[in-house]
Amino acid sequence: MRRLAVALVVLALAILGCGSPAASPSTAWWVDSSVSMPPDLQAAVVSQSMAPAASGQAYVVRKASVDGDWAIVSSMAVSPGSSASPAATGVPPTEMTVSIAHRVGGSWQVVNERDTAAFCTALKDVPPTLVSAEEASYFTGCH
Amino acid sequence: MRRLWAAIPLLLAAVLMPTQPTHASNPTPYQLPALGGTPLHVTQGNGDGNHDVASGSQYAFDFATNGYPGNSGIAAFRVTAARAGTIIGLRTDAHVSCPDLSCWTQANYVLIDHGDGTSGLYLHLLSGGPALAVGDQVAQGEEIGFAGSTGYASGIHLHFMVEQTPRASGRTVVGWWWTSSVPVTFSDPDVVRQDPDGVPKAGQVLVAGSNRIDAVAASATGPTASGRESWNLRVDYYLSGSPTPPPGATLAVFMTPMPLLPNSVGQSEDLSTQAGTGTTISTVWYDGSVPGPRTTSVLVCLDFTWTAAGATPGPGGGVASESLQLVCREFALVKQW
Repeated sequence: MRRLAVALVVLALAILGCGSPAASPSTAWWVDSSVSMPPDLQAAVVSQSMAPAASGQAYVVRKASVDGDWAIVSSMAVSPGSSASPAATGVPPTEMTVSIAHRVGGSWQVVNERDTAAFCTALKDVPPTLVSAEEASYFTGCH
Repeated sequence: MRRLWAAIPLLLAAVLMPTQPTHASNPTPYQLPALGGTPLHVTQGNGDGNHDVASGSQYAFDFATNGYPGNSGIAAFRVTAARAGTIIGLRTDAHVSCPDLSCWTQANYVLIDHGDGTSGLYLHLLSGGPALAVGDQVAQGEEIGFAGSTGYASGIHLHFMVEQTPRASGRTVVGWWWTSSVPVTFSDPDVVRQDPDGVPKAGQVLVAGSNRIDAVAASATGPTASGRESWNLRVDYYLSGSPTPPPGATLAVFMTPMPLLPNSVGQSEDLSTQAGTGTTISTVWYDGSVPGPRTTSVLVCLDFTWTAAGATPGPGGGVASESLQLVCREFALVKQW
């Protein structure tokens, strides 16, 4: 019961924060308003992705692709509390970070590439429609 | 004039030896991959964001720059080789940029083999750039392209990492140039000042490079009534300030062109008020015009000295000053008429 309550709170926070990153500067992850993704997946990404706290950065989801029970999510680093546009805020750009989501028993399990072992395991199982062999070859640490 | 003669032995040494200073406390062979004077914003350092074990880039760096030179936006900057080596891979014709994995192999890049099992990867470059080819030898500090956003990138920056050199047998596979990164440190004075371990950190702004001078323009004009040719040389210079003068010291910078022609004189200029980075023009005269096109060369030196606070410079002033750096380069001048 307590798990359900926590999940509902996380979901509510995620929906409130959708598309308005400046309103939730303490959240390490949020979703750009231009990205379309199922609410339950969005909530899972926001709540489960590994926060890169070491660099003090936050992440905004810029692209999400879903195929059945699998999804791949690309996120961009920004400064906490800033908008999603590096050019507008003066936050210099970098590269994206990738998360793989897998729905098991009706719940999305999200693993970010920074969680090496779990991510590499998920990478082997994700459908090629979401991550092609060429794309997977980027992750040299998984091979 | 006395200053000029006194400098001659040093000038000869400068001609024979590289002008890059050494840093005994940080003997790394790497310098930041940008022209001296470029302020680099470290947007991701080792282990930050997607610089992780899964991607093999845990020892990579992302460098970007704001407003250099002279604009307020995120700008492309000239990328230089962090370490000398041989180009074993490059791409310069890509125009694709996208924020997902689908275009990670669509980046312009230069891969330079250091000859010790490691190679330097310079990624996301703009299309075009200097004329380079596989097999070219590249010197440290040599320009190899402009920072861009081609491939898997969210905007203009340089992804730089030193990685394990790809096996020669596997270089036909798409993305063969991407392997596993290895840790490196940098010797740039500003890196050493801010990071004693030599490893740039996310959020820092580091000024690249050591003292340098580059020719940006050279011209010759016709003889005057007195029979003098005038050779003009415009140089761009950058002073790293290393070693750093003590607090309160006065930094003096003299630019001394040394014409390598008989019967010629150079004009020594005091650039003290321009210390840091900038451009200046120097003139060399030659007594007696020689008809027809001709190429000659001139040796330009920047002599940086400091004078301690309260000390009296010059004869009788005691040990008042100390030479910091003497940086010299030889430039070609062409007379067209």
